Amino acid sequence: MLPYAAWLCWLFPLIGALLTPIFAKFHPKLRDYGAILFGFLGMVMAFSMIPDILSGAAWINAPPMLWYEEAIPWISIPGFTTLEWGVLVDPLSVFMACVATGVSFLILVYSLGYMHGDPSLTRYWFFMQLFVGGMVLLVMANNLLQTFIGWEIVGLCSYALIGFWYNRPNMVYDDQLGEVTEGKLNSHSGMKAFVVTRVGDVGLLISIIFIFFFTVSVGNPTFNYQVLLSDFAWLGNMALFLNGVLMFVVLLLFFLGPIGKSAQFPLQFWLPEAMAGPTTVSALIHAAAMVKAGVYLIARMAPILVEGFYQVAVPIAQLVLVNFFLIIAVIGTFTAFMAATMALVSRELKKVLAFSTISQLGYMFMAIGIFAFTAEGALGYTAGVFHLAAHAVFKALLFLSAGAVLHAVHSKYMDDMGGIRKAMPITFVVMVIGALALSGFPPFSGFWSKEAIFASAWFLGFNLGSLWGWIFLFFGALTGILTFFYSLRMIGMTFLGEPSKNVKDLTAEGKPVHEAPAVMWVPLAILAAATVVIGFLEPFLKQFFFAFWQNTYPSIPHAPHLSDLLTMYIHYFQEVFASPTFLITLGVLFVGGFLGYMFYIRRSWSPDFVGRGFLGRIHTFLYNRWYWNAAMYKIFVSGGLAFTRGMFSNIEAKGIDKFNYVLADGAMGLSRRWRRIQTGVHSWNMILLLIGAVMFLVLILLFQFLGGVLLIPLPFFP
Amino acid sequence: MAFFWYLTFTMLLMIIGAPIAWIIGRRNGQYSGYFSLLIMLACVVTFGLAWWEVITVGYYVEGFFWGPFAFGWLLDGLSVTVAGIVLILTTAATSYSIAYMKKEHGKSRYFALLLLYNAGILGVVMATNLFQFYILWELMLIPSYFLIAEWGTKPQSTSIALKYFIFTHIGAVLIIVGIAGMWSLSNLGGNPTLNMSSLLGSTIDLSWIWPLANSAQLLAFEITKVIVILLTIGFAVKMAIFPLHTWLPDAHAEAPTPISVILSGVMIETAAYAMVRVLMTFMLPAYGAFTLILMIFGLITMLYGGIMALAQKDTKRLFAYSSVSQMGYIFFGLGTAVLLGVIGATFHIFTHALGKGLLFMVAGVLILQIGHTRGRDANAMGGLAKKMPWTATIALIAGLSIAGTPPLAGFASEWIIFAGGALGYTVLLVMFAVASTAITAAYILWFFKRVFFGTTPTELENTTDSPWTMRIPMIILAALIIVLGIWPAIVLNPLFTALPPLLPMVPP
Repeated sequence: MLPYAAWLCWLFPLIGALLTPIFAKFHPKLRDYGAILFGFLGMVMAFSMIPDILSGAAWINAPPMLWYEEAIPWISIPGFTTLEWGVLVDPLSVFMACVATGVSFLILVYSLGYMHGDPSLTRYWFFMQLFVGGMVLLVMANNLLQTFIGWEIVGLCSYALIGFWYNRPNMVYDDQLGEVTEGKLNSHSGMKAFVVTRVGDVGLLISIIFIFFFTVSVGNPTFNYQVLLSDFAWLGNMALFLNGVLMFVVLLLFFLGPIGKSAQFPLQFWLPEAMAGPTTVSALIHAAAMVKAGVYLIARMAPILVEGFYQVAVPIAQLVLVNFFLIIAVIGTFTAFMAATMALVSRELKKVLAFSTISQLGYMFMAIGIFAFTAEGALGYTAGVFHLAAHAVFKALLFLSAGAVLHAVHSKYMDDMGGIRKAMPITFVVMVIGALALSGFPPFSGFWSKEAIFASAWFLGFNLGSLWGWIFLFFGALTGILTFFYSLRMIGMTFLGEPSKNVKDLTAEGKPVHEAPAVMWVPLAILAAATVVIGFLEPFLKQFFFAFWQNTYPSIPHAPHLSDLLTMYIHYFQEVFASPTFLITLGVLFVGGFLGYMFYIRRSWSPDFVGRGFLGRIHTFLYNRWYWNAAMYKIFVSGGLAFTRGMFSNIEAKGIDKFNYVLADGAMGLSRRWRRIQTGVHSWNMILLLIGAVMFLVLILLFQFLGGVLLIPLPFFP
Repeated sequence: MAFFWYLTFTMLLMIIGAPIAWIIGRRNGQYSGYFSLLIMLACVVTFGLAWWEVITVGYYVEGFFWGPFAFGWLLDGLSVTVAGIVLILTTAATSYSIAYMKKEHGKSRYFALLLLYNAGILGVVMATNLFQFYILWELMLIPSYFLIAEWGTKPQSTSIALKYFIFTHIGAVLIIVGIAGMWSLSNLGGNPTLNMSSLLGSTIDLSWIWPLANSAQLLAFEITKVIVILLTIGFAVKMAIFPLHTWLPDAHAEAPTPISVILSGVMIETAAYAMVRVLMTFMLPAYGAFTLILMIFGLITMLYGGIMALAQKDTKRLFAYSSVSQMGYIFFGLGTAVLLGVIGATFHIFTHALGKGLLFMVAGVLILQIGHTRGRDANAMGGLAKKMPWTATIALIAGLSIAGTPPLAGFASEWIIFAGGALGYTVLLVMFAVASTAITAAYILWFFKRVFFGTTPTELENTTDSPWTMRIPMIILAALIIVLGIWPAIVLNPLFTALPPLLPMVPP
């Protein structure tokens, strides 16, 4: 490891962000290449931690180096605790840091070409680097609070970058098809992303504070992951509260954060609008940074909770934990299916990719949810984490190649594309590779991870006889069919078939569709190569994680690790190709591929058969994203604003403030009446004087009888 | 110890500077503006010297006798934090006034009153004697009444200033009755005094409050409860806690903007400071009986203020309701009666002053550059991010800090308040309290979107950014927000060392 690499890998992008406005004062070129340089330095630092994690070649026989952290005091509370600002170096954090910095470095390079000539590039580079820095900070943090800080930096940058072209309109394609619920402007989309994810963050912050509270209650106040892991008294204590209800609520609120950030049901509706920003931003959000944060956080906490499951011998805690993980898996599965159906009918190229991101994230949550149930389910965890990496690479690839297409055809609708394969051969090839990886086509990366996810569901259903396993497997497979279908639809509509009117117009105007410049396609080629290579890392990664776990999470059951690399690979391939889930994967690919081929590649069948009847209604339902977006707007935006206005006019203005004026008017009226006794008539004055004197006498007599109990002798001031 | 009366000198600078500023500005009001800024900068220097004493020694005190009546100025870890932000923000507002009030009438009087007002706020925070505290509390009220009445939005400003005066004065009356009660209590304890350090001694040495032993002590405890109620209501009026808040949106929205900055930024927070300094320090056992009620009212205030802010289209009124909401956070933190919650609330005084002061300054820039009616109507503006990039950036930093977004200062104070709430075993309340940060984010971002994004109306094509006398204080405050967000220990450490000895019975 390079010195201080765990710090510098997130400090470099942050420093780069701060230097960007200064560099911009000197020369725009310095600013652009400065950003690339700091991104590169961050990546070097992140990758330099890999050897430490492997700690030589000994890891296969001896368990690898466990983990270590470095921290400096941040806020010290005397007699209570010292909160730290620290980094945690363990396989998960290093893995995530490498994925985030590596992919985002390529995205930064690509931006050089893609964003060339934009007037607000200083702002762009500033927020892009802050985004990367926030993400890596989140990943490397050694405690929950610091993770939350990175988490919010990421959210802030998404706000700024989705709304980067803040005055550009973001209209929907066809307003006959339903309400126009999308904002009129890109800045609206950014705001939507921030507020919706913020709802999740509220849950997360509450949950973090409660975890802190329970660590305080057992006398060990901390936010630190490893300290949480070292003693599970806090978890047991939490389970005792309200008979486990509080624990369930706290865990669900914790999951609300990832639900918001990773766009899972019911907060998934911000992500499609997030396509309003530059394509590079979309790529960064979907591949390297933002949405992966949610999966990372669950991947970080899940082993801690599962370890707690085995170590805390409180039945109610175990019941709560099982149900919690079940909910993770159910939400993941449902979201995967829901988003895939939306992708079937989308007309915008980037929106297809956005829906597919939601769908693939659902797979990851499904796998990590299954992880808690079975010994083999530990497979699910590695599958989920690995799918994260695989998805990062192929989704960056897909977005960046989509960006190249958008750049060339000047439209975001797939109806305006078509027949551009000859004009953009490199983009076509890499995008096909990306689409195949997305669909889980062997030997691309998506295949290995998706097969492993199916395998974990299979174990749950077949080996444990759980109905949930079959449900997950069924919907997982169904989503797989849909995935291959919409991937082929995307490729077919974008590159194949007859050129559309828009493409012909462009050619006629003398701006024919052209291949992207080298600065754009070279990162694409690298990503495409990575898509092929990274799939073969899975067994390695799996074995490594298991070996690591043996020390760090001793109670979690998992498959034993094998003695050497070759055996491991042979065993792995035997396992994969002999397993029933391999056949399931192939079947899924066949069905989805056949339909997609017939409709959109060979075009023997026409998708027009949907028509206007029942299928047409389903189409409308899907196109409007199950009306979830519209419902949310109706309830929380229009409804919420109407509610606040009603509160203002009825309670504030007509109630509380009115009361003050009533009081004031009453006082005025009283004084007006009181004034009448000031008649100036001498006899009246004398009568009142008499009444006053009598009352005074009565008071004196009263005090006489009370005997001075209340009268305390008062000495002089001070 | 110091051989030079730094704090007395600071206060005298402002109080004697006020008539001088008035005289200087007789011919050209602009001179009194520059003179006041000079005075404030000199105050920053002298105060900074006292601050240095606090850093090196731990506390700094100046005392005087006026007959038997002892008064003076005290800076410890608690008051130096609050006094520091008071001085920072009032100086910034004075600098800001120079450009903002350029075209107004009667500037010499304005700046003279402003100096007196600043002196009142700073004095309240540093007072060592409760009677002195009360006098300065009123010194804070009277100049601000005239400032709102004369330079506020015509024609409603006079009636609104009267409303402000009456509300706050009723609160002040409750406070003086409470202070009188405290005096009689200390008399009961055999050592009649209003000097805070002597009071502190008498409460700790004579353990007549707790544990209860005989009926006289029981009576004394009941009296302390009444005093706590009186003082809490008195301070709650100043903090604009629901349902005593209605004066605030009116006064803060219709005051001239630099005065709004001071009102929202530091004046209402002096009540929060006083709750720690007077109420919690001297009467914790009785105070402890009311904590849940305080938390519930804090919670209602933060949600109610946030909901009201969403309904506003007038920018200054929106920020005023946001202040109501933020005071709810502080009240909630004080109500926890847990060290972490109280420290969070005290720190929130600091961070909210920075954020809200800045937001009002942004509103002032909009008013100055666009005009009084249009520049306040959020729906009538749009697309100004291109026209005024500095203002937009600063507004975003300040707004997100108010909304509690890390790594800005607002988050650092808010999570400590929430953690304090959790440590106070109030599960459900904390959930709602955290949820109100989402409302805050919604109204801030919605404001931002309406004003700075979208299409620029054609009338606003020629809008320009703020002049430098306004921009420089804003940049300094925005930089402070970022620095404190990353390294909150700068302010938190003095608080962590100062508060535990001051509140020995408060659990951590």
